[in-house]
Amino acid sequence: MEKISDFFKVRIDFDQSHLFFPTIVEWVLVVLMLAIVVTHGRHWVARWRETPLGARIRAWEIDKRRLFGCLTLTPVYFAVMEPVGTIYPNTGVGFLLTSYVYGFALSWLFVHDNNRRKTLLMALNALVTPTVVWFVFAHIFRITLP
Amino acid sequence: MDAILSSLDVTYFLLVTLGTVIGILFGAIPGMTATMAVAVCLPMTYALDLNHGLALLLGLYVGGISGGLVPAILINIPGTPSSITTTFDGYPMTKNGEPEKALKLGIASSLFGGLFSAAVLFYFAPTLADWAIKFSYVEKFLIILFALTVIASLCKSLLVGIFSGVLGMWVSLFGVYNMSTGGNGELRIVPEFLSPWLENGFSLLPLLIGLFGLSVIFEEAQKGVHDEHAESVKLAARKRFQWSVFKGQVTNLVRSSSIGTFIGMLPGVGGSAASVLAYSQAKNFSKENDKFGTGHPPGVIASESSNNGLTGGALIPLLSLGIPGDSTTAVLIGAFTLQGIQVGPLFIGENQTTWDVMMIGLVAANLVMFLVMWFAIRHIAKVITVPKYLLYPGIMMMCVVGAYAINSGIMFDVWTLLIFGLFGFVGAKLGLEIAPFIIGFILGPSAEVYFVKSLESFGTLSIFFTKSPIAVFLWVLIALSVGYSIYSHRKNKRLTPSGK
Repeated sequence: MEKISDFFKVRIDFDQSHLFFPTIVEWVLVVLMLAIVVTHGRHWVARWRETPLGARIRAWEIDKRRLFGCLTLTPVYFAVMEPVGTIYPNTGVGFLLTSYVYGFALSWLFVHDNNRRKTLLMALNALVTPTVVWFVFAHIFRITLP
Repeated sequence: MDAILSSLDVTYFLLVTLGTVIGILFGAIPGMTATMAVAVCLPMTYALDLNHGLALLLGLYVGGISGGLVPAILINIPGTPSSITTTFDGYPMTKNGEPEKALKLGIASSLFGGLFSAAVLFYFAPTLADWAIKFSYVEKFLIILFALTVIASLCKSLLVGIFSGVLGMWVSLFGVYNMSTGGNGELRIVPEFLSPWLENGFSLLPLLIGLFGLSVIFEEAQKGVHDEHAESVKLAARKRFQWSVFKGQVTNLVRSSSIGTFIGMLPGVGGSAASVLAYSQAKNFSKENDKFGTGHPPGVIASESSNNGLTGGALIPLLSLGIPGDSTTAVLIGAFTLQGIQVGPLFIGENQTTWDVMMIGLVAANLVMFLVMWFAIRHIAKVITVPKYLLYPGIMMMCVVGAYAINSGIMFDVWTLLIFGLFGFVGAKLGLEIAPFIIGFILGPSAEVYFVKSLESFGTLSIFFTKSPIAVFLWVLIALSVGYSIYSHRKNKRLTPSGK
């Protein structure tokens, strides 16, 4: 009986206590991952054999232009914002200027059957929306923007 | 009383109204949810005090859930996941020439569900908090464990659900082991070269905004951002709404609102589960169950009263235990954190004014939602026609503002937005469950403190089983939620042997 209670005893070294819980969580993740592979693995293999990867990716209906365009534009927008903002620091101009360009580019990327009316709308939206957001947050709410 | 009255100024009610209107508009646009509304509009609260900030957020929450009924009824597309069952009878009513009747039926039912759940919240949350105050770290850890198993048990796969929750917990442990909670101040998980940015781990709000804002836009981009419903919506009103439609529906209203409130109390369980359960119960108990799905008003009543019943219900575990009831209330935790207030068993007792003001805000949001939607439904319906190529750039900008400003100008928070936007997008493709991930992320640091401190105090793992009758009771609940999940998955497998 003594030995069973010893089995549950735990002593946590304070110097290493920052690793105690994360290590347990990591082990639980590994065990769960193995359990998922064991329980779902057969189904995955069967699906893999049934439909090749290429066919399954095609079935996802990826709009490559819009998805990869958005995935490229967004990091560029984030990356450029701060350097532009250093030109006029603490004014939010980095956000404002890059948002004009990004706003129009994203709309242009997403629109279908573009025409002059839509282009005008997109340009207007790209000008008005960032200006309103910038004015409300940077000037009325006095919130820091890049 | 003076403190309450001083918070309830004109600005307070204007913010409730503003939040509700924006929420309704978000809810009415298919693909945008109440959670997205709260996450994207969160930066608007940075300049407000807690009570005024909550006024806006509660309005967004109630409006966001309610707005989903508009496209569900008019174009057969649920504006939010919680209005999925509204399409079953709401859209057939529109096809039968009764769109206005269906909309007003849904609006009135939403008001009933919202007020019902607010009443339950008002009476039940303080009682639960009083009970939870007596919990030691052991019971608090088990409550978190229970919350995770409940969320996971309602996922498509129990294992994947638990995995997602534990993954969220792991991500929350990035950075130093906080000395203010008894940690040793040492860095863990994060490589040394990333320590300047991740010393305090990932910020909650950029993570949430990324998961609910950016990932939705990436998902839409993948599908091609179609605006196939951009044609104008007209409310032909051959049959006008009459209150007599509620005759004999009191039981349905109360039952559905109760289901919504109860489901809301379960951590991480979304509104779609509430409305599906309420709808199926309304159908099962009805003498005219063959009429469901053909434009039968009780179907709309069940769906809408239950999904609005969720709002008050989801706030119960948040305000009494510190555990978010759904993904939207998880974002609300961010608003509290921002103001330096920790939600949990002590919250109501220590912040009586905020609690009272919140309750008034919740009731006001429901009333505003009713008035706005009732009298302006024809105009609100037009929001469905706003093209997404004009909406998404603005949403993206709001996401950036929210992330950048949260820690007063840290660019890494904007990159966090992108990291978790991508994670949400790719994770969903891989089958990861986002709701448990978020709950795990939010509760991870507390779970660590409760677990480690319990072991430091008692020195044995057996304490988690033997500390008190409550601990044993919580283990029974954990076993029941896991058992229920295994049972329901096996039952579903039996019903669909091909696994399709």
